[in-house]
Amino acid sequence: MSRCLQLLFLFALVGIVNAEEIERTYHLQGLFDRDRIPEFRDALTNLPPVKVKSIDYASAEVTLQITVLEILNKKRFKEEQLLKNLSQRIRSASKGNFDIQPRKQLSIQEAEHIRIPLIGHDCRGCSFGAYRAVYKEPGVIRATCALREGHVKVWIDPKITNRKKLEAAMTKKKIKLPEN
Amino acid sequence: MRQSLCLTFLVCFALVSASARDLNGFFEKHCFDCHDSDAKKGDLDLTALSSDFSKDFKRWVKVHDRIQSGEMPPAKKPRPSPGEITAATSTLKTALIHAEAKLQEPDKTRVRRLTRVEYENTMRDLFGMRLLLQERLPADGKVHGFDKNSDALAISHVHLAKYVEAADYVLDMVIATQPNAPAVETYRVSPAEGGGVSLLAANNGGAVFLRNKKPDPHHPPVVRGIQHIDRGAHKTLGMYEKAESVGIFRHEGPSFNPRFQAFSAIYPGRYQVRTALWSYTWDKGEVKPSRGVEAARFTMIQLKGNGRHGGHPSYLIGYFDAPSIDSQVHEFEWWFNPKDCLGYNVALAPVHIYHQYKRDLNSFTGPGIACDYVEVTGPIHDLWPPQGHRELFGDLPLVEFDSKLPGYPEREKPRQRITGAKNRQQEYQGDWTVKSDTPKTDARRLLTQFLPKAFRRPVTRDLTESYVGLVQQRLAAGDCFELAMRYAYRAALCSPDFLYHIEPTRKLDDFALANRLSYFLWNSLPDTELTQLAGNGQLRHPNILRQQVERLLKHQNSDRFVRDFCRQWLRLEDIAANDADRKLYPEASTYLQNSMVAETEAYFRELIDADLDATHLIDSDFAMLNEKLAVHYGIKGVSGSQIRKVQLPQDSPRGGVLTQASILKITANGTTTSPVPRGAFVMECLLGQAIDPPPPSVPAIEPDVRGATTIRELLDKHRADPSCAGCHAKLDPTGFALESFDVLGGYRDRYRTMEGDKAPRERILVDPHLRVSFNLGLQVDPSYQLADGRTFADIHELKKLLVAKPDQLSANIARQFAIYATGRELTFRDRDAIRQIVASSNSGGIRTILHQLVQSELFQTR
Repeated sequence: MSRCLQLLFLFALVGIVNAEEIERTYHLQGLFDRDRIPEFRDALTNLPPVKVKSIDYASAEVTLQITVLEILNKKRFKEEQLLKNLSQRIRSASKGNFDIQPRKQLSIQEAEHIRIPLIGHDCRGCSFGAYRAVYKEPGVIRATCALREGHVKVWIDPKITNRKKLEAAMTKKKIKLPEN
Repeated sequence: MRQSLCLTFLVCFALVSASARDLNGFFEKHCFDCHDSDAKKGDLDLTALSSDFSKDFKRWVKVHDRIQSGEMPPAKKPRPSPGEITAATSTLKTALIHAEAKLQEPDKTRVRRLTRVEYENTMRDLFGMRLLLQERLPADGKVHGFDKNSDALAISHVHLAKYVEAADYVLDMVIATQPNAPAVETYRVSPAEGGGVSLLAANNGGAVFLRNKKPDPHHPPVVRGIQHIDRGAHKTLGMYEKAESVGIFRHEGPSFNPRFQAFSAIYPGRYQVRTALWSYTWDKGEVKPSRGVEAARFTMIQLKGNGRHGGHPSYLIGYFDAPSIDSQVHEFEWWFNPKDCLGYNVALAPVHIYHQYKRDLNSFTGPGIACDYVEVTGPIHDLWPPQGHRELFGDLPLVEFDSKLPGYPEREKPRQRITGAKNRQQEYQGDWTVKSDTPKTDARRLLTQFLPKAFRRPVTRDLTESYVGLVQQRLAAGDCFELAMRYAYRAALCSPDFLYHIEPTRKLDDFALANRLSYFLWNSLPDTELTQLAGNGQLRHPNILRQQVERLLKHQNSDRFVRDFCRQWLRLEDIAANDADRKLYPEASTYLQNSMVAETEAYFRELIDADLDATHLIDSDFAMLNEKLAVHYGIKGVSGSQIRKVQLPQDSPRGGVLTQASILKITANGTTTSPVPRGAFVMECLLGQAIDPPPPSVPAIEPDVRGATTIRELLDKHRADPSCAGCHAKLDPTGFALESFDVLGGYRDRYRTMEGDKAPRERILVDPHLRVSFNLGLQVDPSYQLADGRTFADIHELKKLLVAKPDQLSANIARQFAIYATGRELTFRDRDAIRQIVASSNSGGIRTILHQLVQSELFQTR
């Protein structure tokens, strides 16, 4: 008994988890509008060891039920190892549409919300394109885009980024911004 | 001096001394006044020509020809009587034939190798696969207008290296390496998946996504210059894959080559292609019914490397109609080799949405062509292992082998190598090879069957045994049966027996006759029937030979002859040698250019099929047209992309090869026309009159591109130089009549120019969407007079003058056929043979001439 406790203590110390099925919550990339939720669920039907338990659209967080043994072929694993493997499988299953990341440090409530107007077509591809231009920028907590509304919504950590930096990132991707 | 010439004739031609005296008398009476050492007109001093005709042979032939044609003595001098002319030319002819016999080897056609075209066709027919091999071999030269001429078919170490590579490639493609044929699969590809198309739809407005015959709301058209953001994002969402239809406005051109790269063949074979096309009018954001039939071009693109970037060779499959707003389904079969994919383009007028309409489809009205999908099904194999494999290995079984064992072939597993292609390789069935329990016996049996077919004649036992020896050598070295046989087959396919036309020294034997006939009319090796007739000794029988010519001409393989012969004789291969100036000739397009070539080939085919006489090369009451050409020619009532026979209006300047757009384009430089190259083309290719090259010291005439001076005025100045006048008197007349046609073969009354007067300006009827920025210059004057003094006012009258000498036209086409078929330039003494062929054709047409040529000694002798 004490031997087991010793081992668990050791695993915890080096970040090793020992489990067959677990639940984890991650930040979900690619969730630029609400229609993406069923698309993500569809994509994960191609990945049986991973089930969607819940999706919080507002914060773009997804809670997954994962059969670790099928994903990693072992019970003991490190969290980074699991994340790397899952990320690659989710990208592959969704043909590059979705990816996961560790949860953001700053919550959506704490983040600063800005709207950046842009000129584009009422087109999902363009909305996704505008989203892709900003979501990977440092300091971006969450982004959504529906071009029929004419802007991209971004939640940022104001200590790291600001509107100017994001507009520059969009201009770099040849996205046309209104003159004013 | 004059006495000495006479004496020399007497000495040299003792047997014909009386005639020689007559000839000298003729020269004294009619020629020496202008062509002796004092006058030396036209740089010709007859007294200085060597009396040994073999030394100044070519000049003496010219003297003969000029007297015979009546060109000399000139019209202003007293004419010799017909009897005098006959006597003089007859003496000259005898002397020339005698001299030529001294010059020429008894074997007329020298040993010649297969041309690239012949090589490719031979491999295709030998193995039943549509292999593309021409690009793998060095380009052939050309002598006397044809690449089949033995003088043009040199061979170098580069050729040898390439032949070995090509043979290896062929064997790789032919030998079956799997026990079962690849499964037949169907792939459906959206045109939006071609990179170029999505770029146009997203950025330029040159294309638009359509759904239910309306703009696709999921991917709106480019308006007010607003581009779609991040094509990668659209692709990731699957928007291109899911696009229902794609309409294109952008014209075909060198910088726009969309392709259906989402399917790229992995396995060679026949594939069924199915596509749906429709046409429409885009009216500022709305899709409306089309103005008429539009056409889309499909090509086969041979992708290099991983298929990215450009520069991939492409081959025209054909143009397909998009007749209305209702989708028209087209089906065709095509052979794909690994890495081949389909290319697609629309044949519309050059409209630049992004320049002219500033990327705003809401302000553009014009025609478009839409494609719903392309569906490719294959590879289709009627037999497995395929016929080509059976030619090499008969029915020997395929067995699995361990690739780690020495002496077995290294198999490369088929896999998709093209970026963006979605079709994937099928499950690999392991490494398989041919098995023989009695390798030596099988090798002998297989080679005994293969070699005569590949070498196009019976093969001696010794020769077969030498190849069997090669197999035994490799077997003894530890190679498996397939590798050992492959070694022998490669040697055979690189041997002179395969690469050369082997013909006996004088009279062709039956197999050489079959070979010559087959390479003449099929550009490939003789088939079983021809070989059997040759083997039975029946082929030479006139009736059987006639039947065989008919059979070969009726077979679709004879299209190879039509294409290859026209390509060379009428220089169609030069059709893309220059591009028309886009400002002066906005109607120029790839579609128009391809239609020009198709017209000439179809017309020549019609002359053969209907056995029409050679005057039809100059004039006819019909033309072979599609809509594009008909509009170009101003002829109404022709719709669609397919070439068909069209009756011409009475007053049409068209009809005949002479006024076909292809010929008129080939003989122009893209900006201006000149009577000189056009006249030279007519003289050489249609009338069969050799033209001397211009003297090196005389500069070429540069047309005035400003349009201030006509080419007639420039040539008048040029002809003031007596050394130029002689040739130009013959060259220019037909060219002047053809001045009525511009660089694209369009009819004109006035020259186009960028600097002429502004009004009245001609509207181009070809397409109202074309931007016309040129002006109209000076009036065209097509009148002139032929060298013999006959005058004409325009092309109609010139045609009448040219068709008045049908024998000259027939003799020329017979001569062109003979050069092409025999692989050599005709000699002076062959002229009689040509005359006989024409005479024996009676009033028959071009097919009759073909028959008479094949029956002639000229054809049946090396």
